Amino acid sequence: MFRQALLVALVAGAWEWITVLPAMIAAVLRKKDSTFNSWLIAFFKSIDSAAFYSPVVTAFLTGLVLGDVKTGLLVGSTVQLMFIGVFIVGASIPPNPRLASILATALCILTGASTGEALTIVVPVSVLSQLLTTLFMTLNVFFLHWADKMAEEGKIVNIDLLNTLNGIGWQAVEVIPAFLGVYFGVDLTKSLIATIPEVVSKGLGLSAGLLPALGFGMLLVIIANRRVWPFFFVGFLLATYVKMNAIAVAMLGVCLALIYDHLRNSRSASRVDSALTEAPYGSPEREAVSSDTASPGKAALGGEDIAGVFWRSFNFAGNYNFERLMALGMASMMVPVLRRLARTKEEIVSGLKRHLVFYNSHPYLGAMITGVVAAMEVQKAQGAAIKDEDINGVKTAMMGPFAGVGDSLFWGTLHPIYLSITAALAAQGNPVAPFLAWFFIGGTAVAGHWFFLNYGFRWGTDVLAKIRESNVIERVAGGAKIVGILVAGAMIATLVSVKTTLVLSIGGGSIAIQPILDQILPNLLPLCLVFIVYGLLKRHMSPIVVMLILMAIGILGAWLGFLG
Amino acid sequence: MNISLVRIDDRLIHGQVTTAWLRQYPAEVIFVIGDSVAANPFQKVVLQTTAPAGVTVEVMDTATAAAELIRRSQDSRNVALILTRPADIVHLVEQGIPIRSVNVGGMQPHTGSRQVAKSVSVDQADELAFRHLFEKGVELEIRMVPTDKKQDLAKILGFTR
Repeated sequence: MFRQALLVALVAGAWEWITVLPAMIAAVLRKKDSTFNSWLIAFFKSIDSAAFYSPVVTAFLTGLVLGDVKTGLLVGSTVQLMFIGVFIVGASIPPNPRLASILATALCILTGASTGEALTIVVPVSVLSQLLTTLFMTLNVFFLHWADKMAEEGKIVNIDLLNTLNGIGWQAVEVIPAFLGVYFGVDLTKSLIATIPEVVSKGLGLSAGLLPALGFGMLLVIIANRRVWPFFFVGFLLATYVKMNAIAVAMLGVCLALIYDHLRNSRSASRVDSALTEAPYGSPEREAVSSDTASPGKAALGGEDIAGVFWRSFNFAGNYNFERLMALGMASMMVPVLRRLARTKEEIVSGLKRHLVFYNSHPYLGAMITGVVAAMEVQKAQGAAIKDEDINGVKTAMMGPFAGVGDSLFWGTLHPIYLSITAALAAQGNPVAPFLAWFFIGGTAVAGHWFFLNYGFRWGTDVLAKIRESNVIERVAGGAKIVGILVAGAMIATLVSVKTTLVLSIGGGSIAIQPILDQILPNLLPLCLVFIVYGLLKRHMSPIVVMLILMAIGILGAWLGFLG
Repeated sequence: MNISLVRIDDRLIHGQVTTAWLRQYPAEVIFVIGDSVAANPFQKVVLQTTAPAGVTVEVMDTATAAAELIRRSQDSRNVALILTRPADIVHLVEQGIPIRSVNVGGMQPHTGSRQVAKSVSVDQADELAFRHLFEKGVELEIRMVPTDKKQDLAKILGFTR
C-alpha cells in the first residue's frame, strides 16, 4: 500500500515540489528572471489551477495512477457537481472538495467500494480540508512576522524565498492527509464497508443522483436574477426535450449572450460613460481618473521583470493569513520591480515595508492592481511626486471592488460553466473531460494573470477610465451570467437524477406516478429538488447541512422505497 | 428606504458582498459610508465603476448618509449600508435611523487594536461604540458570509445587560 499511497500523495500536490519548486527557486536564487523560466512555471501552474478548482482533474489523475480511470471520472464528476458554486471569497474558507475527491477515488478503487459508499467520506474530508486550511492560515501569521524582520533588514531574496516556499509548502495540507488516508485508510474502509447495510449503500447510490442539486442550487443563488431566469428555463427545456449536450448548450449560450448584448447596446449606447461626463472638468472625479500617475513609459522595467512579477502572481496567496491576508504575496510580486528600480538599500527596505501591508484581492483581476502599482513604482523612481500612502491608497481603493467583480465573474459564473460541462462529460466516462477542464481553468488562470497584469502596467491608474468608457464589466458579467444560467438549466435536466417508484393503488388497479410526471414535464422532480435546495440556501442554510439532508433523503428513499 | 443590511467591512464592497450578501439580502442601492472614503475621489470612482449589475453605489460621509436616509424614507427600494467603523453607526442610530442588527464582516488590525475574531480587530474607540450600540439593543454579529454561523460580538467583548 506504500507505493499507492505515495502515488496518491504525488497527485495531491507533491508533484509540484519536483517540478514548479525548482524552477521557482532557481529564479529566486539567481536574483534574475527569464521569460522562459517564468512561462515554464506558468505552464505548471495552469495544471495546478485546474487541479485546485476541478475535482474531475484530481480524481482522474488519482484513477490514472491507481489504474482505474473510469472510477476516477465518475467519482470526480459527482464530487465536482456537489461543490459547484463553493469557492473562497475574501478570508472566508468553505469546505474544500479537492482532498475528498482524491481519497474517495482512491478508496473506491483500492477497496472496491461503490461510488455512493465512497461519497460518505466527502463531507467529513472536505470539512477536514477546511479546518487544515484555516489552521495553516493561522500559522502563516508567524511567517509574515518573520518577513517583517527581513524587510527591516532589506533582505529581499529571503522574502522572495519565504513566500515561494510558503506557497508551495501549502500543498502539504493535502499531501500528508492523502498519503495517510490511503496508507492507513484502506483496511479500515474495507472493514467499515462490510458493516454498511445494503439498504444504506443503495440509498447512498441514489443520493449520488441528488447531490448535484446542491451545486446547482448554490450556483442559482449566485447568478439568478429576474433578467436571466428565462434563460434558465430555455436551457432546461433544450436539454429535456431536444437532448442538447453541455457543450452545445454553452455555445448556444454564448450566441444568445452576444445577441442580447448587441440589442441592449444598440438601444442604450449613450448611457455608457454618463457618470464620467457628469463630472465637470477640473472636478476631483475627473482628476481622479486621469491623474498624472497614469501611463508610465515602459523603459524602466524590462520584459523579464514583468515576467518575474507574472510567475510570482501565481503565488500571491502563498502566505494567505488572517492578519494581513496577501501582504507577503504582494511584497514578493514587487521583488522584480524593486530590484530593478531601487538605487539604495534604504529604498529596498522602504519598498518592502510599503507592500507588507494588508492586501487582498482576486488572483486575476488583482493582477491588474499589481500592474498599476508597478507602474506607480516606476514613476516614483523616475521622480514623480508619489508618496508611499498614494501607492497604498490606490491598492486599498481598488482591491475590494475589483475582488467583488472578479469573484462573481470568475468563481461565481465562468468556473461553474467550466465545471458543469466537464462534469457532464466525466459522468459519461469521457477521458477528455479533465483535459478540457485543464484547458478552460488553467487557460483562464494563465491568460488572466498575464493579460490583467500587463493591462494594469500599461495604463496605470488610467485603467479606470478605460474600463468606464467600454462599460466592459457590466457587459461581460451580464453575458457570462446568461451562458452560466443556460448551462445550469440544461445540466439540471441531465445530471440531477430523481425518480420515484411510488405506485398509487386506486380500487383494483394501480398507477405508477413517474410515468404520469413524465407526461407533464420530464425531469420535473430534479427541477423541484433544485428549487427546494435553492430555497433552503436562500434562507441561509449551510451547504454542508443541505448535503447531509440530501444524503438522508437518498437513504430514506431506498429504505421506504419511494425512490429508485 | 428599507435597510436590508448594515455591514462593517473596511474592504467595503468586495467578493463576499457581491457573491453572497447581495444575493441573500437583495438591495438596489448600496450606501458606502465613511468620512475618509467620501473624501477620496479615486476610491469613489473605483466603487462606482465596479458597481454590481443593477445596483447603484453611492459614496457619502456619515452626516450626509443620515440626512439622505431620512430624506428618502418614502423610497421603496432596499438599501445596504457598508461602513468601516462602528462609531459611524452610532451616529446614524442617534439620528434616528432604524438599525436593529449590525453584521461585522471585516476590521483590519492596526496599532492599538486587538484581534477578537479571525477577521475582526477592534480598538478602544470601536469597543466603546459597540457597547453603545449594544445598550441600544442592536444585535452585533460576526459573519464573513451569510451561511457562516453567527458569532455574538457583544458576548466576545464581554458586554452584559
